Amino acid sequence: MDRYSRQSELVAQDNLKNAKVMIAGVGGLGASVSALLAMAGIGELVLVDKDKVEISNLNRQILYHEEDVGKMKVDVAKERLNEINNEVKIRAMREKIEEGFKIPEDVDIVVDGLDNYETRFIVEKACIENGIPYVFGAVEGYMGMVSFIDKSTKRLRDIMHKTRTAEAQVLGATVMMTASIQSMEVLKYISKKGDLLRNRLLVYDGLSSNFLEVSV
Amino acid sequence: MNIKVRYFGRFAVALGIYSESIEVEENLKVRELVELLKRLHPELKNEIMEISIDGKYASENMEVHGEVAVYPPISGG
Repeated sequence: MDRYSRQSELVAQDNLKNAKVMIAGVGGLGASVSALLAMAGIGELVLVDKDKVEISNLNRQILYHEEDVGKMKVDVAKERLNEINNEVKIRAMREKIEEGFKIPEDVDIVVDGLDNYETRFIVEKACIENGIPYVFGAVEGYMGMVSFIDKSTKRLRDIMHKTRTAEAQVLGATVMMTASIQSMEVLKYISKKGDLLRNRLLVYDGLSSNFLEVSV
Repeated sequence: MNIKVRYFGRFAVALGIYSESIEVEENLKVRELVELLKRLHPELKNEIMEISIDGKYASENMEVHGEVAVYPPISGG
């Protein structure tokens, strides 16, 4: 029995081992996605974030503890992810994502852990130019949404037509539910399995316990 | 014509309901429905709404029919 024996029939473990996934932002979504992908045995995670841990992050950002307040998120995340799985290579990039951002070489897929649309459009553009899929995710309150975007699909502007960035209330449970769906998309894509959320926006509303699927 | 409207996210929180049936005119456009919902529910008057009809994204000039879902664009991560 090895550490992946309970999932080896579900995913292409060698593909996961050889995969490189970039996490754009290791806040709520990014921290949870990176933990799930480290557990699953992704070969390399590239973490990009410019922020430090704040006390108000701790209700939903699973990798950070009280003693981490004031430290760079990517540095703490790297340490914690290696405690989860030391076989995973972690690259921590203390960087602000701005226009002209270059996705590191050999990244297979990018996961959205961002909190604003300006940066999301920059990352999406870089992904499309490099032929790399982008797993969009966003949360607010009890609600989360996910979609899978690549050069064959509609773009973020076709999915979210009227964007507005606002700091909102959000629960850790909402974040982890949404991050789980994003992680599932990554594992399916790398394993070449299942039906991805291409041209589909999946909305989860925890308050009413409802899912909504919107074809775009 | 009677239609079912489902509310998601902060809209359901603001209204305290997850869905309702409303009477609308035939040939009502999506943009007109948005204005109607803002009149019916002043809590939504400053909101940006995304609309889907029967599981498909509905642009402003589409005619309203079937089951309507109203959800907010959200940005948090």
